[in-house]
Amino acid sequence: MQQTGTSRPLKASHEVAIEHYYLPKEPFYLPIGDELEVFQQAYDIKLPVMLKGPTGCGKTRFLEHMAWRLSRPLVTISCHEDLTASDLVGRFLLKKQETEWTDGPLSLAVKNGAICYLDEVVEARKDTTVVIHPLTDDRRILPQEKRGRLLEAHPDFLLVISYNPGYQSVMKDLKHSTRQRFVALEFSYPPAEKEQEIVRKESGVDEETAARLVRLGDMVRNLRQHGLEEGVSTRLLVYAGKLMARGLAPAVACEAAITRCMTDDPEMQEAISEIVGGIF
Amino acid sequence: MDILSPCRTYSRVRMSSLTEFLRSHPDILQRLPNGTHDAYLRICGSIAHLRSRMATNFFISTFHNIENLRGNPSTPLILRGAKRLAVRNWTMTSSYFESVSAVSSTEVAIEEWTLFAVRMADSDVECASAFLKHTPAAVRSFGPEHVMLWGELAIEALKAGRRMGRAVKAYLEEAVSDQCATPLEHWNFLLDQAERISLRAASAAEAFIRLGTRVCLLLNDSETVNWVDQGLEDSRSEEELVGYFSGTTFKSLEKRDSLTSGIVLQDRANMLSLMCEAYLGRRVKIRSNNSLIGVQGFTGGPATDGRTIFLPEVVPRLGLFKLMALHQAALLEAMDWRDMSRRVHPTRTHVEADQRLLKKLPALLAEMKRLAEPDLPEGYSDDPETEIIRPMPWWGDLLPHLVKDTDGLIQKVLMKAEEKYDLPPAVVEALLTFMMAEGKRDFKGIWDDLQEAFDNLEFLSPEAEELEESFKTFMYKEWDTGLSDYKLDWCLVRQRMAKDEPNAFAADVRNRLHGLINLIRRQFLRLKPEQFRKLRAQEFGDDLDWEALIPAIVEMKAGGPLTDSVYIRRDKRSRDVAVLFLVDMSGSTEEMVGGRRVIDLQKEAMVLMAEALDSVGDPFAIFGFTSEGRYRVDLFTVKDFGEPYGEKAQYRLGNLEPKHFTRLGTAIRHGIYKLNAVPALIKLMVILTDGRPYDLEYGTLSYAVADTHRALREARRHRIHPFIITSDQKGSEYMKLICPQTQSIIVPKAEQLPTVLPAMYKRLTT
Repeated sequence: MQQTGTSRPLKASHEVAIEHYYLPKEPFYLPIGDELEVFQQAYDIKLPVMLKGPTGCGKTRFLEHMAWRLSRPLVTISCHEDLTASDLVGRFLLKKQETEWTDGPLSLAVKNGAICYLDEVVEARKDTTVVIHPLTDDRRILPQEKRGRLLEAHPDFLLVISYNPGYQSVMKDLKHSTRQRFVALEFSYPPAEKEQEIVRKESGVDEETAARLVRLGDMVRNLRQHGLEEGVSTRLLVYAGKLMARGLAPAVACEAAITRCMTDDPEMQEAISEIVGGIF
Repeated sequence: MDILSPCRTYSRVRMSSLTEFLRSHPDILQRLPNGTHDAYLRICGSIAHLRSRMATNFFISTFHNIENLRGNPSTPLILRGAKRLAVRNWTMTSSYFESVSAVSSTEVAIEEWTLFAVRMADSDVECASAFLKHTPAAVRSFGPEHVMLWGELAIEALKAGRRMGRAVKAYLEEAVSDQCATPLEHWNFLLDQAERISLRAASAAEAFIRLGTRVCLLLNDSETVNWVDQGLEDSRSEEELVGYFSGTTFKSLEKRDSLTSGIVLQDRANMLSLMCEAYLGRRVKIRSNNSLIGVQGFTGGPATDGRTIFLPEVVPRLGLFKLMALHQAALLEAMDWRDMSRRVHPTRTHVEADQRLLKKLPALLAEMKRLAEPDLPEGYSDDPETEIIRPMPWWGDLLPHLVKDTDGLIQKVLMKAEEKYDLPPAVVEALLTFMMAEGKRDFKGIWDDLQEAFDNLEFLSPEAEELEESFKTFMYKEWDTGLSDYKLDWCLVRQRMAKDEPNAFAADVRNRLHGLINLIRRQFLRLKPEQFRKLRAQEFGDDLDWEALIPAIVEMKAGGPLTDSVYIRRDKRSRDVAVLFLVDMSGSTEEMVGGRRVIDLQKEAMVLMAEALDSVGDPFAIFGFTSEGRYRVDLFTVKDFGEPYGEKAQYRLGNLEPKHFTRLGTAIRHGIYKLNAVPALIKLMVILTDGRPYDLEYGTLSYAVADTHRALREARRHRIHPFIITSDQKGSEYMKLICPQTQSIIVPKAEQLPTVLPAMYKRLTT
C-alpha cells in the first residue's frame, strides 16, 4: 500500500510510470454494508465518489481494495493547505536550457484511466478544489491552462475524494458546489464483531486480545465529547495489536498506540490508561 | 416566716422581682414537690436582680423543671447541683435540667457530671453552657461511658487560660455533631494544636476547631503539626490566621495538599467520571458523599441516587477510588435493585454488579484481590453462587429509598414546572440533576432555586443544548490584598445572552456614521494580508520566474553553473488575531456626557469596531459585564466567537443597559476563560470602562485595584494581551496600579470613544 500513497516530489526529474500505481496483491477489506456494490455501480457509469467518515475507519483501505478489484491503478494525493493547482495538474520545470512540462498526479491519472483519490480534500485550498470540477460532470475534462491544453479523461478514469465531517469547522467545510458533484459513501467504525476480525487479521493478535482491543476502542469512543475530537480509530487499534503481536506488553503498546495519540490532556490520558489497565 | 429566707444573702431590693412574682402566683410554692422550695427560691434568686420578662420566664421554666423531677429519687442531688450552677450563672440551669436525665441515672455519675460543669463554669461560663446543652447529643455520639472523657478534654484544654475559651466551646459543639466521626483521643491532639494557635489568636483557634480540623482530615498527626506550624509561620495578621486555619485561603489548601498522603476526590473526580462515562456510555457526575449525610441507610461509603455517583472525599489509594466509582457505574447500569419489593439480597446485587464490571474490565480483578485479600472467593468474577464472607470495601451502600425519593422529587418538580413554565422536561431535569448532585434535596429549596434560575432566563428556543449554552455559571477566585492570597471559588459568574429584542441602535449608528464606518473599514482592509505572497527566485515553486531565469541562463552561458532558484512560489499568509471586548455596563455609564449616555457611546464604539472587524475577518466576541456582589457577576453575551455579527448580535448590543456595579477582576477572569478556548496566535482583551472597579464587598479601592491588577497578570500569563480603555478622567492614579501605561489609555472625552477604539485596535494589531 505504501507505493500508491506517495505523491511525487515537486521537482521529479523523471516521471513515475503509471505501472507503479497498480496494486500488486489484494488489500484486506471486510465489507460492512453494501459499499462494494454501490461503488461498483458508480464506477461502471463513472460517477465520482465521495467517501465520508472519521479518520482511520477504512476509507483508504476500501478504495485500495476496489482499485485492486477493478484492476485500475490508484493515484493517491494527500491534500494539504498549500496544495496548489499546479501540484495537481503539472508545471513547467527547467531542464538543461529548456522548460519541460511535467504532468502532475491528477493529469497522470486522467490520461491513463486511473482512479484518482484526493484524500482529505477539505484540507486543500479552495481555489485548488475548483480544478476538479470539470472532471466531475459529464465533460470529464482537465484543462492544463499553463500549457494551453485540454485533457480529456480516459474512459476508465474515476475521481474519488474523502472527506471527514468530524472536523466541523466553518473554515474546513466542503463547499456545496463541490460536494454536490459526488455520490457519497458513509463510513463509520465497524460493528464490534467485524472490527474484532479486522484487528485480528491485520495485526496478528489472537481472538481474545482482538476482542479486548475492540472493547477498549468502544469505551474510549464513549468519551468523544470530552476534547477527543474523534473516537479511537480502527487503525490505531490495529497498530496497538501489531505492537502486541511483536511482544510488547499490552499496557505499553496501548500507551504508545492509543493513549498518547488520542489526547494531550493529562487527565484524559490517565483515564484512558486506567481503562487500558482494567481491560488487560 | 419569711418565704425568702433561703435567699437571705441577697438584698431585699434585689429580690423584689421574685417577691412580686410569688405574690402574683400564690399557688406556685404549693404546687412544688415537697422539699424543693428552698432550692427553687435559691435558684430563682440568682436571676432576681434582672427586672424583666426574662426573669419571669426563668421563674416559670425553673418551676416546670423542678416539677418534672417529681418522683425522681435523685432529686435532692440534682437540685444541689442546680443551686451550685445557678450561683455561678443562672443561664446554665435550664440546660442542666434538660440534660440531667440523659446522664446515667446513677448518683455518682450525676455528681461527677455536675462537678465537671461547675469546674468548667469557673473557667468559662460559655463552655460550661455548651457542655450542659450538648450532653444528650454527646451521650448519643459516644455513649454514656465516654461523656466524661468528652468533658475532661475540655477542662484540660481550658487550663491554658481564657484564650482557649472559644476553641473549647467550638470543640464541645463540633465533637458531638462531628460528621467525620473523629475519635475523642484525636480531639485531644487537635485541642493541643488549637492551644498552640490560640497563643496567636483565640479566633484562629476556634476557626481551626470548627473548620480546619476538616481540612486536616487527610493528614496524620505529624503532618497536621506541620500544617499548623506553617500557618503560624506564614500568617501575620489575625485575619490571615483565621483564613488559614479555617481552610478558606489558597495557601492553606495548598499546604495541606502538599502534605496529604491519601487520594483526594476533588483531584480525581474528573478522571473518575471519564472512566465511568467510558464504561456506561453516558455522562455521570461524581460528587462528594458528604451531601448524603442523614439519608436512610447511608453509612459513609460510595452510593448513588440513580443519577449521580457519590464517593467519599478521601481514600487511601487510587485503586480503591477506581473500583468504587466503577462499581457504582455498574450498579447504575442495571437498576433492578431500586425495586424494593424484589428483595434481592444486597450482597447479590453487589456481586452481580462486580461480575458485569469484570466482564468488560477483567484486569480489575487483580486490584480487587489486592484490596480484599484474603476474603475474595475463588470464581468471584463469574460464579453466580460465589460465597461472600464480608462486604467488599468498594461496594458502599445501596440506597433504593434515595433513588425513589430522588425520582419522586424530580417528578414533583417537573410537574410543577410544567404547570408554571412552558419548558421541555429534559431541560428541567438536566438542571435538577445538577442541583441535586450539589446536595440539595428538599423540595422547597430546589423549587426556589429553580424559579430564580428560570426567572432569570429567557427561553426563545427552549432546546436543551441551547439552554446549557445560554445560561452558565462559573466560579472564580479573587485576590485579597489584605491576605496576600487568593480566595478560592469566591465569585460566581453568570453568563447569559443579552436580550435580543429588535432595536434600531446598530442600524442608526450605521446610518449616522456610514462615512466614518467606510473609512475605518478601508483602513482595516489594509490590515488584511494578501491571501498569497509571491516569493521570487525560489528553488521550488509553481511557475518559472522569468526575471530570475534570464540572468540565470546568461550566467550559465557565460560558463557558470545553472542556479536552481528560478521559480516563483506563492505562500499563504495569515493574520491570526482574536479579540474579546468587555463592555462595562455598570450604573455609572448612565451618566450624560455631551448630551449622550456613556453606555451609548461605548455601544456606538462597539458598532464601529464590529463593522471594522467584520471586514478584516478577525474573530471577535463582545460581552457586557456588571455585578452586584460576588455571587452576581453577570456577563451578557452580545456576540460569542463562533457566531456571526448578524442581526441578533446587533440587537443584543443595542439592548445593553446600565445597571449595578463593576467587579472588574472577575469579569477579566471570565474573559481569560473565553479566550483560552480560541485557537488564535495573538489574543487581545479590550476592556471599555468608565470608572474605577467597584462592587459590593469588593473592599476598598486598593483591594479592587489589586485584584484587577492580579487578574490582568493572569491574563498575560495565558498569553493574552489585555488593554483597558477608560473614560474616567480621574483614572490616572489608579490606572498606574492596575496595569503598565502601555496597556491602557484614558480617553480625554468620552465622546471620542467611537473613534479612539478602532484606532487603538489597529495600532495594537499591526
